[in-house]
Amino acid sequence: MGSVLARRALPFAILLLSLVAGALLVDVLLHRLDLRWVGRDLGWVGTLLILASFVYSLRKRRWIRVGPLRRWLRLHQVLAWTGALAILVHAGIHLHALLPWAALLAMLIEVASGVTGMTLLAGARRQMAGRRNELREDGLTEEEIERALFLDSLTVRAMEKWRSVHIPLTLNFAILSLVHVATILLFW
Amino acid sequence: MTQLRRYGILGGSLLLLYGGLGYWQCESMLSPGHLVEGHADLGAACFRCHSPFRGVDTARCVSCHRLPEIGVRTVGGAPLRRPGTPFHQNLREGSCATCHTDHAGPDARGTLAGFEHGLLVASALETCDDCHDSQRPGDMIHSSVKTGCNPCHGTDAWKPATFSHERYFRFDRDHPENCETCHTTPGDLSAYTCYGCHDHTPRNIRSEHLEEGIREFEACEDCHRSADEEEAERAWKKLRGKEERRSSRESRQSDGRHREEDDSDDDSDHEEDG
Repeated sequence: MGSVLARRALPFAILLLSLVAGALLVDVLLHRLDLRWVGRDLGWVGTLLILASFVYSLRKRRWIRVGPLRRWLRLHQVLAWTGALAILVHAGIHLHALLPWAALLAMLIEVASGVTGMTLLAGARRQMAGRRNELREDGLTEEEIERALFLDSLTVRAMEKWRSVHIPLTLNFAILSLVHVATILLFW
Repeated sequence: MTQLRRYGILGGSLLLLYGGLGYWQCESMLSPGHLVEGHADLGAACFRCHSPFRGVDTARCVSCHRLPEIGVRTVGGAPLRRPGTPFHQNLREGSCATCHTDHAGPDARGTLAGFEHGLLVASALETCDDCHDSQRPGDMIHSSVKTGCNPCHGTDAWKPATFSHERYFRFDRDHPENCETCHTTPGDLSAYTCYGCHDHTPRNIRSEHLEEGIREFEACEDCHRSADEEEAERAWKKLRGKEERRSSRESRQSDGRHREEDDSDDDSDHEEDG
């Protein structure tokens, strides 16, 4: 059995690469169709999509109680990924000022963090549960199982700590985006 | 300290940090590109041109770039060394930012959006020569025409011309595109004559038309849009039909008016009898 990290690295890479490839594809299409102006408006579209994705956080903290949490998480992932795609097309490689660059970089870090949480943590949990069952069937005691799973459980715990990083990253991205949008409106 | 409070402090600190950087280092943090050479000295004085939340105020632009002098003199009042064609004076009311960004920005093509004729006032669209006189072709048609460009050309592109001679007459082997044959009045391409060649003498045309019972044949293009005689005949019949219907209608209306007058006279007679 390969390590948890290695088994989950592929979907992680695929999700990130598909984001960049999708952005490049849309950007090329817009240039070919002489619809470059669409890129500017995609900034608003992306912002609204990402804002909408945060409804999941409201559901998670029980500020709203409609629908199963798993579905809200899925919606959070889809909206955030699509919003990031729109923002990437919006930004392209046309940046001059540092603030939009910083906001874009923060968004990419945020997406990477989100995809990490989605693929690694979920995968690790599933794998740990399966491994635990296997060891139980082999007749190991709980203490022996814990010892056998120690290395992998360290991985899981580290990934659970991911949340404590993901939220400050989100905050950093949100503040940079806020300042970017505010300055765009200020210097309209 | 609660988690929410910690995030609040972090968020506030980041806001101060990025807001402060944006304020103190606005050129590097916010400017979408270097300013054009003429405005380079403005540097980070963003609000010299930008009104907060209202964009670039045209009034601020024209306070330095006086409208009558754009394309004629520099902002300092000196005559331009290579003056172009002044046209800003003929622009419809609008924002300078419609065309000028003044920040080099992301687009390497510069700071000027493409000119569109739709930005001009209607009267300026009638005087193409003001800007395009040097581009006027020197051939017979273009050197003599006095009707302006609009009847034959659109503002999107010079070629292809929007004028289609087929709307008036279709050329063929016996009627080639030789303008002078038919358009004999210098400078007026709306005037033409069909009597220019040996076959179309006034005498021949008169006798041929009278033979067919056609007495009005001065406006040739009413029926003849090509050398096709059958087409001309169909056009003539159509015209004649219209003329007959019009005459008939007028005749009926005239009869109706007469009858009303007669009835009115009869009523008067009765009243007198009474």
